[in-house]
Amino acid sequence: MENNNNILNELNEMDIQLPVSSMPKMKIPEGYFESFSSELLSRIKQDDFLEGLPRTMPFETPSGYFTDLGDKLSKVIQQQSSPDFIDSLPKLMPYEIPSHYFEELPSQIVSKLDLKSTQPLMTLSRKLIVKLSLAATILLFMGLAFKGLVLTSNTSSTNYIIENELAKVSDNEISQYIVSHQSEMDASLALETIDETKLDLKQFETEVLEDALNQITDEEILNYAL
Amino acid sequence: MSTTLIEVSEQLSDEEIFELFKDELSKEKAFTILVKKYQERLYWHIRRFVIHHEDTNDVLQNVFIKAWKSLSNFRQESGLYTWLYRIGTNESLTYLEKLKKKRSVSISDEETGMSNRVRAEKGFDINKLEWKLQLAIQSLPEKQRAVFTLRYYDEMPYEKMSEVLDTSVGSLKASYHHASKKVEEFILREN
Repeated sequence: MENNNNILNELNEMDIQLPVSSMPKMKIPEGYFESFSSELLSRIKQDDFLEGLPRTMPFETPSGYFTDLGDKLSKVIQQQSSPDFIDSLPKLMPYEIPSHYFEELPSQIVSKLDLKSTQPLMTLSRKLIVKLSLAATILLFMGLAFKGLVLTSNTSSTNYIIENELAKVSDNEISQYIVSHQSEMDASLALETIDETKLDLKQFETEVLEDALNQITDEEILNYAL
Repeated sequence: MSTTLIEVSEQLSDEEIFELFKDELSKEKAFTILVKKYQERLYWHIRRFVIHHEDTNDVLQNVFIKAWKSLSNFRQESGLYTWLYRIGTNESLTYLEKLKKKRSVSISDEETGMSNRVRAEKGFDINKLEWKLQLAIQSLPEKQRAVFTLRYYDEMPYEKMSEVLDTSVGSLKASYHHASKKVEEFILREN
């Protein structure tokens, strides 16, 4: 207590205010100090026992396991900790290709091309010209055929000329012509049944022309143009 | 020192090649330059789909023959590069569809489908990471496979991939993310 007062006095002289008081009451196990030395000795003895045990492990590991472990672990760590695992993968393509493949490929492809198609595709204007030529040809034939039809039905002089011309042709040639042109004959006969007064020639021409043009393929147009 | 056709093909821009192609006199030469310029990139792009060299060669030739036939009508809204990749992707997927119908198996089926093609390749070694990666790629659905290979190997920007695959950039990013995770899981599982 005297010692405690001395410390307080000293602190007061130094003008330091501290809440100096007695140690707080802390509990220790009962008989702790009494048994401390014996417990310490038994611990030392136990350590001595453990020291005497063999430290070798009875387990086996694959040969070279620890040699490769570092590399294996670093790979796994690298793969798992990499911000982008995918970017760490090899971009090398493992597949094989025949030697000189790329050197020969362009010529192989060019040899397979249909070089006919290298002809410039017909422009619209050229296509139009071809179609118009065809149309003009069809119209010309139609006009002649129609005119012929009208002439043969209305003028005696024309009949005379035709009769004279036909007289020069043998019967055998006429029968052969009829057989080989039967379908055209049928069409002509059909045309004769049309009432000319009611016939809209322009409309008729347009329809026939459209039908004819629709039946012509682009390939036929190309062939005709070439 | 003379300049080779390959060097010329590297030097000429797509626009210049296209201009040459439009001229009848230089059409064939322009086409050869175009083939030289893109043959390797397209070859590997197709091979990652169809695996075998012979099939790749067939598909690649079809791609260029189609390009020859359609190049006159090519609209330069998209680049020649993305246009060719688009044809290449479509032709590859068409080939796989035909194969699927022919064999009546799922192409994505690891055991019976394209994985077996990978395993049958010369030099296949399951212990090598590059081969594992090929198997992992084959385990992906076709669309994800296309996205992954275009992004990973060709390093194609998403905007261009969008033109090639006709898919939005957002979907492509999501698709690449899913594909990458699947590839990662596949490889870690195999290790």
